[in-house]
Amino acid sequence: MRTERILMRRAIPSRWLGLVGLVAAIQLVGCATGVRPIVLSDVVGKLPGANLTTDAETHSAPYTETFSDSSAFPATAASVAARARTANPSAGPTAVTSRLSDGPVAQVAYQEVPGHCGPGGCRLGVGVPGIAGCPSCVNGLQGNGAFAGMGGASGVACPPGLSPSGWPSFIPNPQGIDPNEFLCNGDDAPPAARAHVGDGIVGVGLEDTVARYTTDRGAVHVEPSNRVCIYAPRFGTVRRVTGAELGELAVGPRRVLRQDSPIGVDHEIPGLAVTGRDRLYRSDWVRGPDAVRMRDRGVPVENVLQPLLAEEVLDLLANLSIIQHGILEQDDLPILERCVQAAVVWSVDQEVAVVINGQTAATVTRDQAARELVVYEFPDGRLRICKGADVADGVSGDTVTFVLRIDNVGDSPLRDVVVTDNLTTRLEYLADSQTSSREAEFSFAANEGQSLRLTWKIPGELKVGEGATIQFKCKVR
Amino acid sequence: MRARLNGPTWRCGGFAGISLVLSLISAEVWAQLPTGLPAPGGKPAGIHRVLTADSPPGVVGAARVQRVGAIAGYFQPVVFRGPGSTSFALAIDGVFQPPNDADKPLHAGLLVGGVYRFRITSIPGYEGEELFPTLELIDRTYPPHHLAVRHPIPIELELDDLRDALAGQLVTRVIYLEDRSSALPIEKRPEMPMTLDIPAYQDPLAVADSLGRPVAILRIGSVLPPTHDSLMPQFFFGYPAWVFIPAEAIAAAAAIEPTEQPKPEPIATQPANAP
Repeated sequence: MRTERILMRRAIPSRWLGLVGLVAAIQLVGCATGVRPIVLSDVVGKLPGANLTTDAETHSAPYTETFSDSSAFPATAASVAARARTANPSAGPTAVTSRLSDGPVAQVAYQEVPGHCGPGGCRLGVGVPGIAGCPSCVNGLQGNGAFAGMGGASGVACPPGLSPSGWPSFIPNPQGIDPNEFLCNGDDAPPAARAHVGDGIVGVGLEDTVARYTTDRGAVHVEPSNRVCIYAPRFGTVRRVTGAELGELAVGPRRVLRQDSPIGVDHEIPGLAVTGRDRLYRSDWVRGPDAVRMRDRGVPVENVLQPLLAEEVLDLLANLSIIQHGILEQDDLPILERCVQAAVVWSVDQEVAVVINGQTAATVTRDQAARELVVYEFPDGRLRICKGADVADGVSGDTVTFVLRIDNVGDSPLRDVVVTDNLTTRLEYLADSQTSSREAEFSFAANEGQSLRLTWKIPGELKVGEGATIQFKCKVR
Repeated sequence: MRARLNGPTWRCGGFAGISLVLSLISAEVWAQLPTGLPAPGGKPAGIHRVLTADSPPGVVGAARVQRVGAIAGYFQPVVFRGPGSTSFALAIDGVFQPPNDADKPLHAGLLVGGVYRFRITSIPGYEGEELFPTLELIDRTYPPHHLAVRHPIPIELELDDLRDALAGQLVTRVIYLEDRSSALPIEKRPEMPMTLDIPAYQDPLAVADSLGRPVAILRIGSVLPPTHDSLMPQFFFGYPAWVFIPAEAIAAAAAIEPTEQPKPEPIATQPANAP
């Protein structure tokens, strides 16, 4: 189906501005009060300044809190379904939910949720009622007495729904999240994966999981899966041994290095900094006239358009008898009717006109003019790929089971479906652990991360509504 | 990004004020940013690090606390592990607590920025010997609520460390969170820590910073407790607070899942065809 959508010019009346401002304010308050979940990707190091004295989740929360809001972090089957609905607006929520609930696709691990509070846009430390409302928990060391040790203060239990740190309990970690503490797999990180000759796929980097398919019309598409993250930090150690017997040898070069470095930095940095600022000032002056010219161009364009329209209308009406003599003649009626209709179109104006398959579907008459033409093209076939893991965290040596669920959610059969999962360095595929609910040709090859790239080729057609479930196990290195 | 060493431009005319501000900012912040290409000898080219592992205990951690972040007041879970029957004991008000059992590692929550003096006993092959290392926590982790105790920062010692320290040498270990993009493709076992030995002229903090995010500095020497009571606060670096994490809490943390979801029925699957 091809849908052409024409958006007409719309001038925003002043009363709408107030409504838009109110909605924006509500969204801002929603972010600030922690209504929206923290996303994994944009809170690294973004730490609320108002929470500097909190003892956070260290004392009771680490093993007493559970996530009460299934729609928030971590992702659950519902969130996967929501994401799937986002990927495929045409699919109904009921169908998606039922399909996800009948298999082990249920998302247990953490999933990156894009599009929420970004860095700088929503500082969670501002205006959070839980901070001021739970002072004893903020200062106390033992929220529920689970810890015992030195320095413990008499903590008071927090109100329901608040963590000992004062944050709503459904916020996983208001202090921030370090991506390096997570082991992620799925999605398609840049560079984007592309279909290659044959049934190959290029641009599949580490952690990427994509599926390639061919639609009924012969178009080849590559669809990434969702991203699955498991909390599995790994620590290393750098060791240095120094001693008295090495002291005389080590002290000499140390002194030389410490003396040389500051001398070089002192002489270089000031000159570079001054030069850089001078260039920026010149650039600012150059940009100024450009901005002025851009504004000047808009003024004559609008002024010119209106007289042109008026002249055209006057030319058409000039020869009419009703204009010349004030007498309405029968011969002038068709022309006059056409001109009146044209006047309605251009003065009253149309708002939105939608054309589907060359036929006008709807025309809304408003007081604005056409502004732009937007064409939406829906593919003739569509493959949805969802990924899940059976654990939320792991340490080295643990086994993680990943599930890949692919479904044809389009309106035509698909063929040449190839699913590729490029395992990251810290995931080691367990031999002969993969299974598929549908006949598939499995292969693997070493990748650049000294792990494996797993590939499943599903022969035949994947008809509308059909899907397949692929499972495999990996060991956390 | 380069860091400036000194406030060098007091006599540099109109840019003196700006340069002073930049120098104050850069001295603490810019030095911690990712480095450039390493120069021969392990020192990044054109960068002089203000903070090194040679800094006195507490300096690096104090600098981290002064920077932005929910660091102050956070008790970072750590776990002490050693070879064989090695036991660890932390101190409360200058009195070392009973050591942990050999089969149960010591779990504790430590403050970022604090320097903790602890005692090592029951060293395999060196029974009767004692060591009093220091642990300086310089950063924290950011786990979800229910996973903080399950994933503590491991403070792992090897027998070589203890042997070298007993021989009068100073062993400096910088524990870092590994960067997942440059992770080593090897399996890490609790009894076998991933250790990178560097020569004496290199800075372990700088090397760890290039491999990930440093979180702790462990210094194992041959210092013994002072005999005079007035020196005890200095020996214990001011008695920083810590919390003990009992084994029951660890077991409870391991049993809790973030969301209790019904286990789905297994799907009838079949092995895919091998190539």
